[in-house]
Amino acid sequence: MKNILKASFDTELTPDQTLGLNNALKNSPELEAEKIKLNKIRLLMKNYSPVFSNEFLDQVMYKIREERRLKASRTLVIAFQRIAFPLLAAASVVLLFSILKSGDLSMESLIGISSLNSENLPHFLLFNY
Amino acid sequence: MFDYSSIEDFQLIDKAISGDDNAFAELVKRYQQAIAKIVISMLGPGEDAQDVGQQVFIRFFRALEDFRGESTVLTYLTRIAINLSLNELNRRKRFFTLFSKATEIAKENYTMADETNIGYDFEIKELINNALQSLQPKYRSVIVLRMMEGYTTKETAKILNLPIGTVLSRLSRAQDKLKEILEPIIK
Repeated sequence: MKNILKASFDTELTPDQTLGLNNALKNSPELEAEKIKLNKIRLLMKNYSPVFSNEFLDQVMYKIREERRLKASRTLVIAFQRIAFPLLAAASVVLLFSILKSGDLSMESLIGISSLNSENLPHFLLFNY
Repeated sequence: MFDYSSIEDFQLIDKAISGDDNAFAELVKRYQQAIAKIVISMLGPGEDAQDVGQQVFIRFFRALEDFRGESTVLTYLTRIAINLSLNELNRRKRFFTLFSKATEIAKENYTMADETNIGYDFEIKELINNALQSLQPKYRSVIVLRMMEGYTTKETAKILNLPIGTVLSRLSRAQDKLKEILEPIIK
């Protein structure tokens, strides 16, 4: 019956169990005393209210602000990676294309005017520019 | 000055997501007592409990955008608090082979952490704390959720991801142990 008494605090008993328990409680002072003890334990546990130190809120908020700063800098790094890497890749492709086409790495070849001289300048400006 | 105390949790969460620190501070104020009860009951008073308590709210902050409101904020925080406390206990286990050693440390830290909680008899608190720390973590967690936080057996089972039968049997064994230790104050 003690097990049923303990269970009665945490689960719904069947009508038969409830009836049996109520009868047992009426007839057994020992069981009644046990019920009082279990009630006291529950009350003690319910009323046990430890608290954090007074600085708890400030400490949490300090760490939250740190989190926000960290998140913001992470966002910047991600944004930089998203922009910088494709740009770098594109520049590399242009550079490679230019080297393969002209066969050298001079500034003229890079900007695509390696064959430019003063005689064909008007032609370049009129048709190629 | 804006009054945050009258705002619903989900509105505070929206504000916190959009960068309002005061809104998040209000959430911490609302739930720090409940989290203290869980974490300090699980770990005993002291610096570790404070650190884990802070971690609970930091984890919550990181997960704000994923919080869909399927459970209440309190249940969500409770779940984090229980998991982090159990992790901390596992970590301690590696350092303290005998559980009593951990309890001794908890006792030493007791005075410092409880200075602010006046009005509840110190010896009773010490006895309750010792009783809790003497339980194995798996028993302690059901006591904390069911008896201290007032969750139903079903909710306790859900939070701990256990069958209801297991929760009931753990509650029964834990009560026996508590009764034995708390005998001086419940007779």
